Amino acid sequence: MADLTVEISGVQFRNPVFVASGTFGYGLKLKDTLPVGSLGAIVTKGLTIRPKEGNPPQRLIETPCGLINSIGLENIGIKEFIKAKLPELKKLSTKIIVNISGDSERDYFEAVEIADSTDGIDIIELNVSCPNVEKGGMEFGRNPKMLEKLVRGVRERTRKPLWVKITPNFVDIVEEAQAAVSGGADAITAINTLLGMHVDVENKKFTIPRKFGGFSGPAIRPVALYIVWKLVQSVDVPVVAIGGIDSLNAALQFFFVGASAVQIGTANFIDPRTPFKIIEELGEYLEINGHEKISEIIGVLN
Amino acid sequence: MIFFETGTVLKRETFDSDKLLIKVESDQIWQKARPGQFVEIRVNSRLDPLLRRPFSIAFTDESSIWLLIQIKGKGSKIIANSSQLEIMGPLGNGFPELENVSLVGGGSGIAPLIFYYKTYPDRVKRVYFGFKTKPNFNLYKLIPQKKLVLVTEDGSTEFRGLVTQFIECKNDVHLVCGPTPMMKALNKLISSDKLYFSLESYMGCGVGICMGCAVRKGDGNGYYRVCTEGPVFRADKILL
Ligand SMILES: Cc1cc2nc3c(=O)[nH]c(=O)nc-3n(C[C@H](O)[C@H](O)[C@H](O)COP(=O)(O)OP(=O)(O)OC[C@H]3O[C@@H](n4cnc5c(N)ncnc54)[C@H](O)[C@@H]3O)c2cc1C
Ligand SMILES: Cc1cc2nc3c(=O)[nH]c(=O)nc-3n(C[C@H](O)[C@H](O)[C@H](O)COP(=O)(O)O)c2cc1C
Ligand code: FES
Repeated sequence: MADLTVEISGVQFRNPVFVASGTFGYGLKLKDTLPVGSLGAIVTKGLTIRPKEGNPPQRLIETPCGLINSIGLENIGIKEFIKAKLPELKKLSTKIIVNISGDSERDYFEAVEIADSTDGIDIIELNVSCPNVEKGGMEFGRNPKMLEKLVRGVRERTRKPLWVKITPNFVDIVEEAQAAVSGGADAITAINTLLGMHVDVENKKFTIPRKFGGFSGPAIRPVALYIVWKLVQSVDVPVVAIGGIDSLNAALQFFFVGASAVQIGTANFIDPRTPFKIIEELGEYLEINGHEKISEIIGVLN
Repeated sequence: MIFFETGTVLKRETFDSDKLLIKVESDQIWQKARPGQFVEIRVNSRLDPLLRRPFSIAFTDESSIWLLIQIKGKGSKIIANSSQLEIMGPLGNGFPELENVSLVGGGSGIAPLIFYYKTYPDRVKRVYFGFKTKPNFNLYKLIPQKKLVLVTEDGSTEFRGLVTQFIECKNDVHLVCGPTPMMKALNKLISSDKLYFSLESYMGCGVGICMGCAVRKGDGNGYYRVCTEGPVFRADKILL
């Protein structure tokens, strides 16, 4: 068997295929159906210091090869997550990455302090790019100076590996990534959803009550691939890729341009077996092509 | 446990001008399914349409499940014409297993109620089904005439009007699936602790991992997920 293990920010993963935040619940829903422990890592739904009820429906609308969502960060809050979900998650032989969001620096800091002092949380992924809440993460993604300050503040509050998740909705993404790295990020996750909109022509209204939402799925893959390639060239920390990955072929594209790992998002909705299939096929691909380790194919194109 | 199956479509019967009943081969789902549960069907192996489509299980046979498919848009049209279907299920919670209930269904919403009747014929007092016009399909093959009240808006059956006009025992428990206006009308007619609604909502995953299928909780605080906490809810637990 080829060696699929990767190390990112000092953490060893059994393989480089993770499930993306908000697209696999808290990781436990499908534990009787799928071998969730065999994932490289589970990234939790975006957690906030206080529970959030989310946006009114309609929260989703499909577009050609894509999906627009307006979930609005519905989540049980980080404290409840730690009480009700983490004990069960800890028993799995996979890494647990908590994705944290907030409305203000203080919200982020409080949630991070809690995550920092909790066993079983391997990595903190800061979401500074959610388009679906009023204030929220996106403000930080809009302003590299604010982002750097936020990340620095978070960095002071945790010794756990810190990843920052960004998206190209407002500012030059390279600038955004550099700000996060200057603030102390150990890795960059890219991309979060793009801004998108859909109109219900029959009823002459916006399909989603908040008018716009986060656009994801295979339709955004070329955008994500370009950005991951660009970030790999321009920042000194590992880049974890997300965006429309639904198959081995799509995952390989990201590994070739230098992604250290991939996260599977919207594809889990089409078929929740997708990440497990990719893990299996990645192993086969390496064997067939005479590679002993996944690292041999990471960044072969630049 | 959720099963992933690829089943051949074994039979296709016209129901009415925009619906058909299809019988699909099944390995496990047919054995595990409860009335009120649904399946998610992959439209095709391409990425457009992207999402699976949810359909209630209309009833089961040995090694097969039946679905009642209403042609709405491109997804249901492709599914209705496919010779093989990729199916995930059974999903959601079914109807509660209660005695002495009446069933109220409208349009394609009759599907999960047929399943309830076929599973617990002795527990069902009356079945009220409403359509615009009389279906081509002979429903009496599934539910005996003495129990089935077939209501049509155009009067092409014995009972003309809306199902809500024909409800006899307002104190009985009613299990309901149909269009929202029908559920709203029943909410006014029958005490909400005696009403169970099977809801539809736009679904992303069907398995509880996207938070897309939200329905407002009855007390106004927060949302339930229709796919995993429903699709069946007691009427006082949700806001329509
Ligand atoms: C739990 C549940 C059980 C259902 N059972 C049945 C059934 O037994 N028989 C039946 O005919 N229909 C049933 N439906 C409705 C059926 O899923 C939709 O009619 C179908 O998805 C429409 O797809 P389309 O591509 O043909 O239509 P589109 O042209 O895509 O859209 C038409 C309408 O269908 C709805 N729709 C589209 N995509 C989805 C989706 N991913 N999830 C939910 N709704 C969607 C939207 O409200 C939209 O306005 C059920 C829905 C749910 C949630
Ligand atoms: C329904 C839904 C919910 C999401 N929720 C979150 C979230 O809570 N936190 C976050 O950082 N990203 C969230 N995302 C973004 C995804 O993690 C991912 O970055 C994005 O969807 C692009 O990847 P994809 O095309 O593979 O889906 C969400 C995406 C979707 C579709
Ligand atoms: S459809 Fe995804 S949570 Fe219900």
